[in-house]
Amino acid sequence: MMRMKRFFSLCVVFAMMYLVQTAAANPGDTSTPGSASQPKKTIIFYTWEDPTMVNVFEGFNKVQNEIFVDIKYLPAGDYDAKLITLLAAGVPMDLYNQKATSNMYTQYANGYIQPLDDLVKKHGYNLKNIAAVDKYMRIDGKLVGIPYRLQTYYTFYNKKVFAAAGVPTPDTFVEKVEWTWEKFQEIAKKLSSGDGKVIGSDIYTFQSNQIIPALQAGRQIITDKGQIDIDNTVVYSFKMRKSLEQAKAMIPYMEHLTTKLHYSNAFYKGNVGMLITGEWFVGMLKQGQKDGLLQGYTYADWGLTRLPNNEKEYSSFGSSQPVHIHAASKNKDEAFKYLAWLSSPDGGGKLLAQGGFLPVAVNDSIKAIFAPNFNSTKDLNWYLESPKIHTPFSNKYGARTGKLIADTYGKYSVTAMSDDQLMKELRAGLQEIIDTTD
Amino acid sequence: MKKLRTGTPFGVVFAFILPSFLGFTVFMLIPMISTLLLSFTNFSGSFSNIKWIGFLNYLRFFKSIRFLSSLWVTVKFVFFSVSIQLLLAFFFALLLNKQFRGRNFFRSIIFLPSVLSSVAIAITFMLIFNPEKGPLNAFLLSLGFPAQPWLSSPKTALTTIIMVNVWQYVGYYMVLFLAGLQNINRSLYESADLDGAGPWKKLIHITIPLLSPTTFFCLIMGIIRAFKVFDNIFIMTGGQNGGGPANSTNVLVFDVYLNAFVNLRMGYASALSVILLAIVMIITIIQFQGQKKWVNYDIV
Repeated sequence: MMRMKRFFSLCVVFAMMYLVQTAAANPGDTSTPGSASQPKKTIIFYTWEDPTMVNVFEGFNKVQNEIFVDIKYLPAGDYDAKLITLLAAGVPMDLYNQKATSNMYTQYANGYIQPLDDLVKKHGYNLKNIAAVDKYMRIDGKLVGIPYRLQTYYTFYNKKVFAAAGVPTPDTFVEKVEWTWEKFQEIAKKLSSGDGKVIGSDIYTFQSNQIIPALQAGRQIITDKGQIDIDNTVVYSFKMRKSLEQAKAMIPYMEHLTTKLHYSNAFYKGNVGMLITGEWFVGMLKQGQKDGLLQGYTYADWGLTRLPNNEKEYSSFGSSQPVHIHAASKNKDEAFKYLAWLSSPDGGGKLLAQGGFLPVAVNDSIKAIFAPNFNSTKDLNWYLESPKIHTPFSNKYGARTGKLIADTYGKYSVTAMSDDQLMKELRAGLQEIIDTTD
Repeated sequence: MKKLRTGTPFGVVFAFILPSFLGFTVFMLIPMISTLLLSFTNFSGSFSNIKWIGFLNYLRFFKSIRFLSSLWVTVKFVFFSVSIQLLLAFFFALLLNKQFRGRNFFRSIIFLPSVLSSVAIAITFMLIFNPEKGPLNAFLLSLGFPAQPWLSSPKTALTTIIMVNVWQYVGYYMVLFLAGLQNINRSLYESADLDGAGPWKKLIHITIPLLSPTTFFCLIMGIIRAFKVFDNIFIMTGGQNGGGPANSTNVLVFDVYLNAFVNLRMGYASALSVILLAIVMIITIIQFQGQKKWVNYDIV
C-alpha cells in the first residue's frame, strides 16, 4: 500500500514538472525543438507597448524563416526609465526602440549604441529611405539609428464641430495661405462654447508641443555648440497657449497632467474642434473607430491639414524615433536585416501604412494603401507632403531642455509671469543646463 | 568551537543572523556605499565612460535653483504633514481610547488607509480631485461653495498632496498613540481625580508627559517618512512630467528620480540622495539631543 502511494506521488510530481515546463515555454516559440521549421537565429527587440504596432513589429517573423524577432514589450509610461535600467544591467538585447530621441546622445556616450555605417555598406541599405531625417540620426557624423516612422505634425479637425459653429474648416485657410497661428487662435475661440462643453483646440503635454511656433522659426533652444537660441517666438508660443486656455478654447496643460486625460480620449469625445498632433493619430482614429470610441461623429467626419505657420516657408516638426542596434549584440547582421526591413517601404512600411501610420519611406504602393484611410485626396496629399521637418532638442542638452520648457510653461500657465521674467527664467535655466552638462 | 559568554557556539549565532545580515548587506549596505561613491562621478548609466569628478556634483547644488526650490518644498511638506498627522492621530487616539459601542470599527476604519497601496490611493484621489469632473468639486458646488483647482494650481497642489498623505498615515500613528495611552498607569488618573484635577489638567500633566516617548518615536518616524514622499507626487502630478504646477510639489526625492531616470544624471542624483540622507540624519540627531529636555521615560 505504501509503495503504491509512493509510486502515485512520484507520478503526480513528474506530471506537474512537465506541465510547469510546458507552461513556461516562450509563447512565441511555436515550433517544437529540433523541427525543420525552427528559425536559425533569434534576436531580441525591446519596445514599448502599443497595440497598434504589434502587427508591424511581428510582421517580419511571418515573411521569412531565417530570423525570429523576440519582441519584449515594456509599459509605455515607464519605458525610458525601464530601458535605461535594462541597458545598465547588461540584459541581452539586440535592438531597442528609442522613445525620447534626446536620450540617444547619453546612450551613445555610454557605449550602448552601435554605429551603423559599416552595416549600411555591408548590406547595401538605401539611405534615401531616411533622407528626410538623416542628419538627426547622426552623432559626430556617425549613423546611430534608423527610424521606421516619419514623425511630423498636422492639424486634425472634427468637421461636425466646425459645422455646428458655422466656421470654415482649417484647410480653406491653408489653401488661401492664411493658416497662421493668429488664425488658429481666432478659430479656436469661435469654436468654443466658453463653458468647457465644446473646446476649440487641444495641444498635448509633449515637451516640444509647447513651442511649435518657435520650432518653425528655426529656434534650437540650445544649439549643438552649447549656446542659448531663444527669442520672442518662445514667449509668443507660451502666450498663445495661455490665452487659449484662459478663454477655455484649449484644454489646459495642467488638466492633461493632473487628470491623465490623453489627447486621443479628448478628441474621441467629439467636443474638441482641432487637435495638433502627429502622423500616428490616423492609426489611432482607425483604432478608435474599430473600438467604438468615436462619440457623436464617425470616421468620415475628421479631416487633416497643415500646421498653422507664421513663417515664409512652411515647415513642420517631429522627432522620428530611431531603432538602435545594441553595441553588445552578437547578432548585428541579423538585427540590421530586421531594421532594414522595418524601415523599407516594401517591408514594415506597408504594414505601417495599413495601420494608418506614416512610414519613413513612402512609395506609390504605400500611397495606394493610405488612400482608403483618408476622407479626401486633399487630406492624403497634406499627409504625404514631406515638408521641412524640425527635430527639437536633438543634441546632448536635449533631455533637460525639453523638461525645462515643459516645466516653465507649466509655471507660466498658472502664475502671472511677465514676458521679461519668462525670458530671464528660461535663460537662467538654459545656462544652468549648459554649465552642468558634461 | 569558540563560544560566546552565554555559552552558545559562535557558529550557531552567526547562522541565525546570517540571512538578515546578508539581506542587509546586499540590499542596503552595498547600494548605500555605491551611491556614495557614484556621487563623486559623472555616472550616467554605463561604466564605460565614468569619470571621477570629486565634489563637483555637490558644488552644483548651490548653483541649482531647482535644488533649493525642491528643498524648500520638502521642508514645507514635512512640517505641515507631520504636525497635522500627529495632532490628528493624538486626537483620534484620545477619543478611541474610551469605551463605547463601535470603537473597534472606527479604529479599523481609521487604520485601514495605512495598509492600502499608495498607488491605488493616489489614483483614486486623482479622480476625486479632478477639477472638472471630480466628486469633491461637485459636492462643494452643491453646497454653494466654489470649485477648487486642487492639483492644478500652485497655491493648492501641495496642500492637496499633504491632505492625501495625512489621510493615508494618520491611522498608523493613532495606533501607536493608543498603545502608548494604554501603557499609562490608571492609578495616576485616579490620584488626580482625588486631588480634584479636571480633564484638561490630567491631559497636560499626566497624559502628554507620559506619552512623550511614543510622541518622540512618532515624530522621528513621521519626519523620515515625510522626507521620502514620492509615489503620491509622481502619480498625482503627471509622472515624469510631474512636480506639480510651477514645481509646487517638486520634492527632493522626486528631483532625485528626475535627474536619475529622465535626465540620466545618475552621479548628480546620487549626490542628491547623499544630501537628503545627511539632512535627515542631522534632523534626527538634533531630535535625539533635544529629547532629553521633553521626553519622560519614567515608568510609574
